[in-house]
Amino acid sequence: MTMFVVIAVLAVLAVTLPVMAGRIRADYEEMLDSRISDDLAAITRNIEQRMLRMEDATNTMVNISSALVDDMRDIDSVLYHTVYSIDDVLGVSIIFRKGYIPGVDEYYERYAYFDEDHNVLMGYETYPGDPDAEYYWHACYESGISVWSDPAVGGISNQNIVCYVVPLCNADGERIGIAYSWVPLSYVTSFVTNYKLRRDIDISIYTDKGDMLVAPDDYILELSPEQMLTREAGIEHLGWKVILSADRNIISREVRPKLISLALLILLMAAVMVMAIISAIRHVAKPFVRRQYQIEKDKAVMDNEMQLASAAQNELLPHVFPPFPERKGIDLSACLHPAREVGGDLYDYFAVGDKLFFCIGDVSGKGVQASLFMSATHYLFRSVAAGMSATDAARHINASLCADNENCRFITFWFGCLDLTCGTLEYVNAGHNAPILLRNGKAEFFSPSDYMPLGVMDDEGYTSNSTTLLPGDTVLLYTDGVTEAMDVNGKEFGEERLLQAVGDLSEACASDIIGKVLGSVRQYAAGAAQSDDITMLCLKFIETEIKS
Amino acid sequence: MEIKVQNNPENVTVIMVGSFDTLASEQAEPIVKELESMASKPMVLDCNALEYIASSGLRVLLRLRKACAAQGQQVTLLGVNENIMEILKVTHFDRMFIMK
Repeated sequence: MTMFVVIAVLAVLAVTLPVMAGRIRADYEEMLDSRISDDLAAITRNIEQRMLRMEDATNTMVNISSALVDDMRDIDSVLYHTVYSIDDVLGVSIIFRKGYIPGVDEYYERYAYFDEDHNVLMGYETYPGDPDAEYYWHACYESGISVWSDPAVGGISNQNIVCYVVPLCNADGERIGIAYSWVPLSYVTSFVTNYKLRRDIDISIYTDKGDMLVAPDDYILELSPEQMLTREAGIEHLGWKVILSADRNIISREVRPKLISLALLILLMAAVMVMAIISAIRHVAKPFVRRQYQIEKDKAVMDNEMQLASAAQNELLPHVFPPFPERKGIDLSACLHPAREVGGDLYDYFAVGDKLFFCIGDVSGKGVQASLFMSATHYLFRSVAAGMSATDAARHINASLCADNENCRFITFWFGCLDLTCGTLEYVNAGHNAPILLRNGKAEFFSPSDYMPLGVMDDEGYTSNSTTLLPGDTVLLYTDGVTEAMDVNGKEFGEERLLQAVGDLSEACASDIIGKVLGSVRQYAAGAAQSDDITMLCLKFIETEIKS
Repeated sequence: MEIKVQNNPENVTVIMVGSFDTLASEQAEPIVKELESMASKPMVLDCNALEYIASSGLRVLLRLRKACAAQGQQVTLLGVNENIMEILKVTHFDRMFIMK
């Protein structure tokens, strides 16, 4: 039982776990995906906000400068304050076009920046060549549009920086140069690093030219595209691309403990179930089973007792053959094969002086009551048969059986009294099957009964018949269990078949005749259940005895 | 086996169908008791559809006959087939019933 439950649970696990795993996996992937999307939006927004702040600061500086470009002291002051007051700005600078500063036929730059000791240094520079390579002169001055530079190494400590470059006009709106601020790349990427430290999602950022600003972790680089869950978004101002990637394997890593917990939970539930079942069996089923068992046992005991009763009863019938070894004139044998249920068949014989009394009977119905009725008949027969005529004996037995016979039980009964000195047979047939007389190899029935079975009508006028047996004659008494034995198709053995079977047995002794008739019946009924007792009594009259 | 009882004004008709064996007579016990209490009228046992009767079935017939006889009523067996008739003849039960 427990074994069965364990196997069932394992089977359920085997079926459900992969399904559950798939489900959890899908749920987790969906969750991870939405987390990546949310993070991506937050990261790009954060970067853009930082950029905008820088742009605002630079634009403010440029606006102020526009009004003050005529006095370099004012310009220096603006640059100084901008560097000083705006966090994260490494430095600011203004480059005037060639010829704008009177007397200077070169590009002219004024700047302010933090040195390594965090002091603000001010200065100026002139260069003859095109400053475009570093400062986006063309991109900005010539187009008149503000731009973000590509990242580059610069500043005092050779940090990675990016610059915001804005065209500069004078108060009249005439374009006179560019202004720019440079900020460390770490300003935009430091929080990304922090993010990376605490999340299992990797970030990488690329410029529009494909330069790597934030490198992905090595483990991400080793993954094939199928192994990655990836989302990307652009940062408009910069043309940058932010990519968030997660290793799909972390899904398995996340899912596995959940699955293990789930499996443990199922096992736990199964264990509880098993305990419950065992407890139920103990408290409910077991007493029930025990009760059933007890009923079966009681029934078996009762059946057994019935069998014993039946056997005991049958033992009351004489069953030692040959019964009268000292009497050479007769050979007698009998059998009683009860059907499964206790029946009410009966045979008996006894000798008193020169007379042999013998009988056969069949009580209506089966069961204990039928059996008791049979016993009563047997007792009555033994009591009265030898003491009175056959007619009187029959009437006496009948009257006794009829008394208080509320259930209308009855017994078909044939009994005879054979005078062994002369072969005279006096007999009464009370509703029983006519016996067979086998004489000179010819079997024929005795005359049929003229009377009802015993126990039916107390005034039934039973009167005996008389015949004389010749030496060599055989008489076979039998019950309807013989003639009504059925084959598998429900067809009865029948009287004709019985006559024929007996007719062939002239030379056989009494016990052989019974054995062979029984053999014929059994062979005929092969495979069909025996529905009634099979009882026979065979008497061979060999010779007359000398009168004692 | 099936037993149908018709309680008519002039008699009680019992229609028996099938095989009246030991099991059937055990099962018929409540009906038999009922019929015994209806014995103040003549009883007609319709055997047209009765195929077989065992000795326990005969016993039931005897009980009905006894109950009727106690109230001066007779029992009629109707349409008894050949096999059953033979049984009735061997046992001489035919004498106790009106055979039709």
